[in-house]
Amino acid sequence: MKTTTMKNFAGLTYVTVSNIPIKNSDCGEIIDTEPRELEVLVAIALIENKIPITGAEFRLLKSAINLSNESIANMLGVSRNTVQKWGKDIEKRLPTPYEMLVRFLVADTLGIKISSSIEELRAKDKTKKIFLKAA
Amino acid sequence: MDKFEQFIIKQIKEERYVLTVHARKRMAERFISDNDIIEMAKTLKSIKKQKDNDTYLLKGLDSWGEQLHVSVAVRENVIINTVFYKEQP
Repeated sequence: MKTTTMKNFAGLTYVTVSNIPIKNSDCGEIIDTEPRELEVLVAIALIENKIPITGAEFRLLKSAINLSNESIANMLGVSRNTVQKWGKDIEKRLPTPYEMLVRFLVADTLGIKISSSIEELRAKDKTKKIFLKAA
Repeated sequence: MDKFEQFIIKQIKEERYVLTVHARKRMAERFISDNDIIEMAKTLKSIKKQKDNDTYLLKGLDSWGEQLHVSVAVRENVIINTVFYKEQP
């Protein structure tokens, strides 16, 4: 099976995904996975590694859990505009309570076991390099 | 919109598409997710056959209200060739 490696996955400079299955076509190399499959893989790693959530991470997490801005807003008790603002500002970190809630929502939706204690829900202050294998 | 164009949009909305490696790299540069591509199809503003007669250019809004352009070809699947925002052709 032919595979490739992608650095900066989803624009996250610290994420590298290797072993991504690809195949040739007359349109160039095609990624041989389902839509969202790689995003879910990376989302799980972000949650498990307690990565801080800026707009860039939020965009990927939102795609991985396949929820609309409106659904997320309703679940977290904020306005749709607030959710929109989180995703638009790529570099800005979410306010801590919402960062915790987003981590909890993503973990719950994707079936990731995380501690529900306040201290454990809190993300770290820095990102760290993440290397993942897709296949 | 003809039936073939309707077919392309339906496939994307139902998440039946594949991405080229090139498209995934462009998505990373622009923080575009699969969700944005699907949202673009749901809010589609136009679909046009390109001069090469082989690809279609779709325009719609991403999840954040920005106009997203998506170039697709159709083989055994709908293939997303590349993605870009209005100001980044």
